[in-house]
Amino acid sequence: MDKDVPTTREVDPAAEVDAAVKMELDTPPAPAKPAAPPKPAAESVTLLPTFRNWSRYIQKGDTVLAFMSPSNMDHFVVTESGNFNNAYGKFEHAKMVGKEWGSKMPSTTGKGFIYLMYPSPELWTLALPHRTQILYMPDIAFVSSFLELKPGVKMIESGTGSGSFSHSIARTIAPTGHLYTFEYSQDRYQKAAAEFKDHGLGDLITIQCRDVCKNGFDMENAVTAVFLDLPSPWEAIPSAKKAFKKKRVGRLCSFSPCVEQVIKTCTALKEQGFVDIRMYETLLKPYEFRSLTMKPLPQPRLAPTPTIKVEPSISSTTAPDQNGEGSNKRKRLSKDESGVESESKDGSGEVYAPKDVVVTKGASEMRAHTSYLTFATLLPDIS
Amino acid sequence: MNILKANTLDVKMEDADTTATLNQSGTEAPAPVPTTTSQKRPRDDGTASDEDAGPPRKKPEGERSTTEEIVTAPAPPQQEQQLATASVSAPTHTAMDDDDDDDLIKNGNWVILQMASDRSKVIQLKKDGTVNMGKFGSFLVNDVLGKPFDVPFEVYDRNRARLVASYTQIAAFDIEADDSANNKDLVEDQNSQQLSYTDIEEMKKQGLKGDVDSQEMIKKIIENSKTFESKTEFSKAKYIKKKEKKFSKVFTLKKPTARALCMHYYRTDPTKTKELRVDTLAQMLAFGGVRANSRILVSDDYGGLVTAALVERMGGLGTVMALHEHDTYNGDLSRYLNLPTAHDCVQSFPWARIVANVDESLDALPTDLDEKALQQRRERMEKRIAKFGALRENLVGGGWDGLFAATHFNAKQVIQTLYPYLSGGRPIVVFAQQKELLHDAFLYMRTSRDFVNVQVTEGWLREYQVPVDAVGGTHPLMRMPANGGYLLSGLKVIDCPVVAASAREKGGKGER
Repeated sequence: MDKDVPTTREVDPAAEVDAAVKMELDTPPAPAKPAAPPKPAAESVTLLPTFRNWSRYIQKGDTVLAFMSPSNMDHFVVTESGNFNNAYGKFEHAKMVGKEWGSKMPSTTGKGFIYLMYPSPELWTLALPHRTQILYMPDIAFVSSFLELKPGVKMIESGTGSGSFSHSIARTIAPTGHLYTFEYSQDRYQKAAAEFKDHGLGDLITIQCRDVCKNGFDMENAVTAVFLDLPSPWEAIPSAKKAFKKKRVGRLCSFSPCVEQVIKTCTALKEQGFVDIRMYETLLKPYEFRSLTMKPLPQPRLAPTPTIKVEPSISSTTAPDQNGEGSNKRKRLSKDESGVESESKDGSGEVYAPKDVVVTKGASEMRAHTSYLTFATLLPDIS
Repeated sequence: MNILKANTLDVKMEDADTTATLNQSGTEAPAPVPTTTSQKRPRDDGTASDEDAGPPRKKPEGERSTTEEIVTAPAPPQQEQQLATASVSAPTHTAMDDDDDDDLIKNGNWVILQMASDRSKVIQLKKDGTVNMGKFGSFLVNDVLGKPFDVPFEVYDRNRARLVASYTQIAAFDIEADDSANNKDLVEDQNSQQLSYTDIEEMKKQGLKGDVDSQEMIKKIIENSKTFESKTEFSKAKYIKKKEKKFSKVFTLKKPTARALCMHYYRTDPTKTKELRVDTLAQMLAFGGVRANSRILVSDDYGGLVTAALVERMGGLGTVMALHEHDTYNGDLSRYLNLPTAHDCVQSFPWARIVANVDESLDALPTDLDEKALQQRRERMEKRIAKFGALRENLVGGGWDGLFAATHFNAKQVIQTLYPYLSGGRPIVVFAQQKELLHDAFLYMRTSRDFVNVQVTEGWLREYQVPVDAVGGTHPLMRMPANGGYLLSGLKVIDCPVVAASAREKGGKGER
């Protein structure tokens, strides 16, 4: 992206935004990124619980979020003498130690660079290895709000999937809350369990390998929030109901891509006595900002003038010869090139000059659907 | 809002909304128990064990009784307050887990009073008082103290309240499914209802007196409707729901969480919160990576909703420094969270004091005063120097983990002024009702080497009707708001020189 101050010409900061949108969109349901092979452990290092709290400086054992662009992120653990390699060069771990989070780091040749970012759950969601389709920020944010997540909350999540939401929950309910998360697949359960442990979240998260639709949660009077991301969530509703704390308001959310699933879930919720059942879609619309020039109308030539040879502007090199004037055709003029001709008058005599306008518009593409979010409340037992 | 008005001894239900339309009735009850009003509440002395392991919200005293005050307020000089000798004994509350104290209604709590017609108001509940809900009746506060938030109550005996027996009203109705019923022969006219206007008004009066059950009323109206039977199932359900909304004396006291307050104001008074919609607010907290035990800066001129959301999401653990316009800070909506004093983590700091003002200089003390007056002036100034000096040192000392703004000030100026105090890698989030207000700040952040991942986004939120109460289909609601505000977000980075020339030549590889 051109970091220069925008001139009167059209600048294109949109490239980064487009890339951002595409980053959000380019992950199809099937695992887009094949699960990265475990990075060869050049050496062992004691992992730090980087994810637990903000910290100031990068240390050996920290997990670093390598930020190249909004659509290109990666992660690695800082070791004694390891390197992080990518298209932008080779980056020595040893040189990272002691740097502040957010530092721009040049490659060994100095020709490329990356940013060493703190792995917030928000960035982790964008960089994590996809083992399933994951939850993105707008849904994570909305669900966290409607389930009233905050420090101290105890909550159930099923299924764990790739742990995108799990990392966010753990951060939100820390230090005194707890997340009970359930994953049906043995392989994903093991990977997630290892990840939670490596990331220092083991005391905040209890993960179990369990088919909750068949066997329930086996929890009673334990949580105030339940999040279901299952193919058949209605099967888990009765067991979820038991897991809620009896004397407190319980909030449930079910995340389903298809309306058919939503209808079945709502029926089950109603049968089980849940109230205030509501369903939403939430999406994010990114905007592009540009500086454009509004041109005044072409003016008639009222007196013979020598043809002004001007540099062809980008817009006219490929434009057809609309006026049919051949080599005499007037090119697009800006303030820089000529003074008098750049202004023009309308019928009332008002003068128009080229006008710089900062404009915005929605990006060319946005995510249209993630899933429907169904919320319901279980009122406390008041007897 | 100062609820301890000097001259009144009536228990007036203080209405938090300035656009009050409901009647508020005072009773001739004895003097009210004082509750706190100031934003800066004194710390409880018994809370030395705040740092103990355990849920952050637990009050060490394990306070349960609803007749005691929750916080010790500075006793106002004008009044001697006495505990009321209530004629109604305080109801017993349900037993709950130790960490659930803040889910039971306590004296002095703010609540969002939700009435049957989808009307809601933010009010404060004070012991021995009465809440008047207009046509929906009234109820004694003592009847609800100690009960949980978010559960439905019903009014009975003119002004008593009790938890409803069953949560699903509509189950009481027996609509026999009649497949042949459709709206083919339905004629819309005023004569469809055989009960006259006066009949219905009389019934309503009796209902409020408790003589006629609201379910009975609705049943009667249905029986007297000529067209009811021939409506489709869907229309019947719709009809009943509509009548319920008009006649039901069920109300709910919703817990005033940031989300609930956001939705209440968005619906009833969006100018107060500048149309900050619930999804946008949630995204602010997400973009901003809000977590307990962090230090965040906020510039909030729109009613205090953003500040309230930040404090709530931090569980009161950590520090929120609120930069504000005038000399005194008005937390506004933050008060409604009912936070215990131990979790008042907001430090307010006037913008104008980021640099020391002339009245913080001992040299500027006037010399032509008598000893006593001079001493007073000096002491006041020393206090001022200490107070603002400490805040200034805290701000400028840095180490802040996030910058949030919902401000009528120039967003670019706010960011430029405060971002140097952020640690690296930390988020900046700015809300605006109109995206034009974000132009300058966006372009500044985009072209600066000090920020990455800069974007402006807008939330899109749509609610659906799902087949629960209505025997109908699943489809989006027919109306929706078109504006929920815009967010500018980015991350602070720490620049360093790079061999720029060759990097640029590579078409911006790494350079963006």
